[in-house]
Amino acid sequence: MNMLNKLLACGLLALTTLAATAAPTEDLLKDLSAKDSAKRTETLRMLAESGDQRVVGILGEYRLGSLCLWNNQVVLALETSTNENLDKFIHLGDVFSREPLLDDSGKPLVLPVAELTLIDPSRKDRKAALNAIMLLELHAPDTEQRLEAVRKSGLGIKVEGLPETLALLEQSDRSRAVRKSAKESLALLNFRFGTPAEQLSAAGILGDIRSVRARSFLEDHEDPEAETVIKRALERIDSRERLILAFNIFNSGISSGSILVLMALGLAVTFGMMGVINMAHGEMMMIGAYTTYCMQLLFGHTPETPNSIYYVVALPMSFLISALFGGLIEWTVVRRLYKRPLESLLATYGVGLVLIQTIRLIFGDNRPSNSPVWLQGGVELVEGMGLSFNRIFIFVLCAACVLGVMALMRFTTLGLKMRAVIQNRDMAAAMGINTRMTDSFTFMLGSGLAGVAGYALTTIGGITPNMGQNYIVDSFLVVVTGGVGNLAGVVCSGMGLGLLNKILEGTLFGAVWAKIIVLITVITFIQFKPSGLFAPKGRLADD
Amino acid sequence: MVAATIPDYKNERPDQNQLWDKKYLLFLSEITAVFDGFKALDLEHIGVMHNELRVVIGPNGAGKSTMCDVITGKTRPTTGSVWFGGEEITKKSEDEIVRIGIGRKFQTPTVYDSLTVYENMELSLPGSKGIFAMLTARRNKTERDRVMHLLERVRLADDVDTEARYLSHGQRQWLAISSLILSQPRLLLVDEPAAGLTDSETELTGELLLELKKEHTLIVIEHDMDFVRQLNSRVTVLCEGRSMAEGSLEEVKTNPEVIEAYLGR
Amino acid sequence: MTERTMNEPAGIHLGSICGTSASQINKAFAGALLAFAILLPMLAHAGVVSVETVNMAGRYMALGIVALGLDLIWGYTGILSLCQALFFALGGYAMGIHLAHQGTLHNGIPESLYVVYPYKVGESKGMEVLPWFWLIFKPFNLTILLGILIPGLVAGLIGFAGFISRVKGVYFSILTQALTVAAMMFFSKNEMKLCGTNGITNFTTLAGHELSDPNVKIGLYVVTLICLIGTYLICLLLTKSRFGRVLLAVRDSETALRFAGYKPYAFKAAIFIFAGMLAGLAGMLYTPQANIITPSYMEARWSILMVVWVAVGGRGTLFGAVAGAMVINLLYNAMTSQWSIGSFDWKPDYWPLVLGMLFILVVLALPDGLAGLWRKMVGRIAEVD
Repeated sequence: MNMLNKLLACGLLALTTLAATAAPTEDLLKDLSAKDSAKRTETLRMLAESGDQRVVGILGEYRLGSLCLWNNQVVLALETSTNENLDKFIHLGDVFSREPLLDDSGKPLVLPVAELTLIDPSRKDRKAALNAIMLLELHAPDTEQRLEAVRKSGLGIKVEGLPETLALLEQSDRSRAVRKSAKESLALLNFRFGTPAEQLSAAGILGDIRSVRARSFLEDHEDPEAETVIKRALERIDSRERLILAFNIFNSGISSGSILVLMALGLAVTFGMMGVINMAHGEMMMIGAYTTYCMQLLFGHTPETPNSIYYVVALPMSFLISALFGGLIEWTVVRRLYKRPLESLLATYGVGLVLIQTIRLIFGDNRPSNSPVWLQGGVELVEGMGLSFNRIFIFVLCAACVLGVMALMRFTTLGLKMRAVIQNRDMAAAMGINTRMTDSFTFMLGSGLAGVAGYALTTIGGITPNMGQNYIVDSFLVVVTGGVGNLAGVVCSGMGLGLLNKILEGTLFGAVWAKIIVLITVITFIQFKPSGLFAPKGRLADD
Repeated sequence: MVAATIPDYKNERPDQNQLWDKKYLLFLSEITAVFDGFKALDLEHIGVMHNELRVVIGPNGAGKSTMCDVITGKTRPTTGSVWFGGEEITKKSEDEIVRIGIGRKFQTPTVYDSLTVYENMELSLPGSKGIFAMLTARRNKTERDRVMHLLERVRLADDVDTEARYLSHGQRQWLAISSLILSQPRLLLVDEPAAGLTDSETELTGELLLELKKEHTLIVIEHDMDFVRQLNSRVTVLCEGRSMAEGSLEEVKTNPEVIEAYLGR
Repeated sequence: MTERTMNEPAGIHLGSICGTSASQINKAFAGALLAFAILLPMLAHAGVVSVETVNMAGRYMALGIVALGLDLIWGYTGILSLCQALFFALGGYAMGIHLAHQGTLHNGIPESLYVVYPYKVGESKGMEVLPWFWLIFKPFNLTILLGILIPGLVAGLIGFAGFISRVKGVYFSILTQALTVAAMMFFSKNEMKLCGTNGITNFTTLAGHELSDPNVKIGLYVVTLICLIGTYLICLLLTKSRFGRVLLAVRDSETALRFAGYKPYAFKAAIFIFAGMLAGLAGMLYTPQANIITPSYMEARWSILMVVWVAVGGRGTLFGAVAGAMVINLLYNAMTSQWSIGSFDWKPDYWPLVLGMLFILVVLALPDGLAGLWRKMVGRIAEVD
């Protein structure tokens, strides 16, 4: 059966191609100006069947009445102008290329209205043209465009030839997504415009494929006979919608959790090790984001002329520049404030103020960021369940950073020194570890990680001087919840808080309430576990 | 000479013997303290009698400070119970235990740096420690005399108006000890009173403790063997969290287990 | 003697230990300031200074009261609270709601509320259904009482919960900051019927007096001055009492205090509540003089700024705290206006830079703040004498 259908489809395709060669588009277009209404309708039908995508635009112009006949060829009226005598002139253009037509001397061709025959479609023609456009788009060679057209067709009117085309696509399209969408659109059309019997079976199909888009039509449908079928279909759709919701919540929760983890990772290292609070940590993130922006400018990456390589260079650059700033802050301010966390909080907040204002004075308030080409878009698992590339990227980046820091701590000499300093600074110093150096490196590492967070954030949101301020309180809460100086704890609490926030936000509460509830939850949690998720015990617990 | 071992406390446990507090002021019963699977303390029974000066010695990490933490409520024991003056105090908070009558001097002397010597002492005066009492407290002659008497004993009388941060290490030790004495506890826990002191300072500290013995019960934790000899009192040896031996210094010194613990390995 | 003066630590009241002449200088200076503060309304009455200046001084004095409370908890007790702004705003909102009742009404609904919440509140029959938390702020006396008690109550909740479970140091700071952020979001939501992000504004009368009347403005200044002096004296008594020494002991060694038989958490909570009440009082005094209260007063920025007033003035000295609040705010006033010297144009944009530098400078170079600087100076002068 399937085989036969495919054969049939091949035959049909061959036929349309044949038709197209038999009567080239240029010739067909001329017939649009035919006096005979039946001939015009036939021409439009043939144009629709030609599958020639160029015709989509031309038919659009046709509906607007912008085509005219000149020299026995169809041309496009680009614009009209009037001279001082109020005579109208028309600037001619090529129907396919939309370029102005030139006369022998190379000047744009401008002719008085009287010398042209305007092609003025009737109401019926316009409608037919629209149908033709719709059908043509269903044959677009680009899968994305075709999918879009197929999806749209289910919600539109049931034009002549559409069900057949959809049936054809459902059977034989290359893309699985298009086949599924065609099935859905066909069922939708049948449900909306079909006979009661057709509606019943369509409702069954819509339920089977859990068509979310069919919900409103199914809900509005009043037919006691179809009641059970519709109810069942709606239940199935409900379950799908819940799944999609859950997926999207999980998806956004993971990515906001990833950013939090990236931010908190650096903070946990500096806070846990040096006992200083770096309120300028958010600004390190901001600097990372601005470094990325500068790279974008340097490589001339714009939406029109993409030069995505900038994003590869920006990763190490944002890390380095932020680390450099971190080193500078450590050297000038933080170094003098070890073991004085409250004072370091104030001083670094001041550093943050200076950095924010300096960047604001240099760059202005809001800078646009353009993601690299390969992070735009995403994969769609099921309709409504999309994984965008930038979110995947952020997650991978976060995982890489966490693993990197863990490996650094576990397998390198520097990491060994860092762990020694965290556990007992004086003893480490007595053992000959240069704690000053270790501190500097740690602080730079932490700042660099914040820079990477800022780098990642450019693919999601805009770049503003005070972007770090929105994250600093949250990331401190993550560190406090996770347990100071404990990387596993930070990862757990960062992901946990990110998810919790999005779950609350996506289900029962709005964004603000979700945030308030998360804050209150963390505060209550700290009441019962003042040293975080993974608290040190025994002698280490005392200070 | 008979080597000292642990005396048989079994029949004197407070939960079995109603009259235990006639003999003992403090009694530790089957205390264990476990941190992350590490058993810091595993005592069977220890009793400290009224007006006794008990010295606790033991190598590093023997659990001496942990024992103090358990007695003063800083650390909750994993199992076992602490009894003091006729009642169980295992689950009481630190400040309650202090008000019941156990005072403690920490290993590193804890004084309030930005308060003067006199003000430091003032905060240890016995009586209500509530907010209202603090707001309405007035200085009076009796208090002043008591404070000055103690300060003179530890040679701090000339420094009453000096802030504690300017004191030497020895002076801080004495300030901490005299604050403790001022608060009139029934039991004094003194953690390493001689640490970091000069010989003459150590001797004065020893005299002070022996003087206290007349009216108070004391537990002194110490490393310095000369100092322990000066105190000339009953000694408990802790090792790896266990109570290993009890008796006079000469007795425990001959205990082979103790010798092994100190010199062996 | 000189050396002692130089090493004078924070925590001892201005002039109590300095030499006689130093103490005299201090007294003379304080007297001169006080005289100026008392004379200011008369000068305004005589037209020498503008009423706006007096109004500004009144506002800054209200902020000085916040600084006093913060100094008690941070300077004396060593707890860095980042939610004084919340208590300040709570007092401010109490007064703001009270004032809104007496302002323009729409269908019986105060204008500020009506703008963001035009229906539901007044939809039912009488059209005058105000939420209960608006009604309780209608009587003046009750407002004053609640404006102090509510911040105290909230401070009590935070304080007892936090201090009993021994949340300390930076943890407490971060938690209080997070709490303030949560409160700000809460107040910013329109459906909380607290006038959303616009806040409450356009006040007209207070207890029957026109707020736009210069005499009323001067009157508010006088009330604020009296409150400042009153609270200053109460704080002075507190710090001079044995209670004050317990606070210093908490800062120095909480563990030692606990083993001396005290309940540090009770003392911490008590002083935290007191500071919260002071902030509430300050908010109530500030709002009618600033003619607005919005959730932006709960921003993290504002909380940290309050701490910096105390740091700049010199923590551990009550006088320094008030002076810090005044100095920074006067500086703010001067630096957020446009002026130029020669070819150099000052822009308000530069203010955050100056402020940030000030944060760093105070922490690194002036740990005892202006009060410490003053002591050194006075010590030198006294020495010369």
